[in-house]
Amino acid sequence: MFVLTVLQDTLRIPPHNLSLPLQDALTRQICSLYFDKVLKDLGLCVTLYDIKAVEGGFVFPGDGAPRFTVDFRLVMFRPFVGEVLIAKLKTCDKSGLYLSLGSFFDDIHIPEHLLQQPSTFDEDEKLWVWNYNGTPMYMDLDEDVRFRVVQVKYPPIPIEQEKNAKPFAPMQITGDVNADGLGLVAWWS
Amino acid sequence: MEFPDVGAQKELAHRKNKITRTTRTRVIAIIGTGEDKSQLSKRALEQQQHESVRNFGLEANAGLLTNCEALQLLQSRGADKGFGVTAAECKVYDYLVKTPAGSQTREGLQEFFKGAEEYKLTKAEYLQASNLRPSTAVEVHLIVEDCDERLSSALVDQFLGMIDETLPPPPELLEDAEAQKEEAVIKADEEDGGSGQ
Repeated sequence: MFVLTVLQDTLRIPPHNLSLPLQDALTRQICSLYFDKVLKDLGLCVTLYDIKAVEGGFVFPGDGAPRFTVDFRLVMFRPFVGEVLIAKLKTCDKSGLYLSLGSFFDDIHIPEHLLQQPSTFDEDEKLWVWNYNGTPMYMDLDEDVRFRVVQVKYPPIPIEQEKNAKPFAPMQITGDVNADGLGLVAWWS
Repeated sequence: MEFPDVGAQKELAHRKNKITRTTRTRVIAIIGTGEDKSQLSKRALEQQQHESVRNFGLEANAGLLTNCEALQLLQSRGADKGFGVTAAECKVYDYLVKTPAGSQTREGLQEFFKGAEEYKLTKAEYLQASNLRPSTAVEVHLIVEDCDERLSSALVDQFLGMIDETLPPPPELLEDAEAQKEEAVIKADEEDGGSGQ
């Protein structure tokens, strides 16, 4: 689930942070720039692992703040294809299930063709039901679901959005629930 | 309009070992979660996936972290106390504490990895085993690719037994077990009290 990524960046320490020890000032700058942001193809940045090297500290003319070239390692949330994860079922509709990992990652989608076969969408309860050998197994909301990652997409930022559209998700995980052991955790325990 | 091949230029510079700050062209594409303003350059949009990674990361994959290690890192930054860390880190911490990693320790993990060496699994499979803590054969089949060919069912049971010994159960199950023990003690006390009188 978590991967280390080495990044290099030129960080500008604003003058009001110069009284702090250098490492703390750099950590704060990295925090404001990177934490909880999605980097394309690298994943969602969770936290800073460590700072490997710091160079520079030059103050350029016209600017009161020093700039450092910093090599640092970030902990990224980036599940690999084929990884098995457990998430909570948030909502579901005809196109499939929407899961969320704790509250820090919300954009996991299980399309309807990757659910356990055969599954149907119950219109009255608005829930998906898996017909397992005749017994209907309901996929209730707020249940833990074990799924396998099929694809991690980083769609480009839309230039225009409708007013009531869902907020843009920069990192979308597609999963499947189509194997033994996948689906609601309660089914297999 | 064609853009110069930035990736190839960087590679050449690396090979010649003459990396100066001016020749290192770096494109940062930071996409915020929510309504943050973002800075995107045209080049980031048009380049292939592997090139965009090379452009703003030195190393995209510098190692996998188990949930336990990530949890301990967040703890050391102060996520359990709630200050000194951002709200996002707290959310990740709250999520990880409830997974099996919440009750694991470094030493326990090392024991697990030592014991699991004989099964000759890949790194990713060890990682998933320690993160998910499988308790049934079905889960092991999910984690291990081609499980039928690589591990016989006896080996799978052995693996499950080893997991049971080396990795503690997830925090929720531990709480349930403790709650059950307390109930049993209370019941025993009541019976003793009743029979004593």
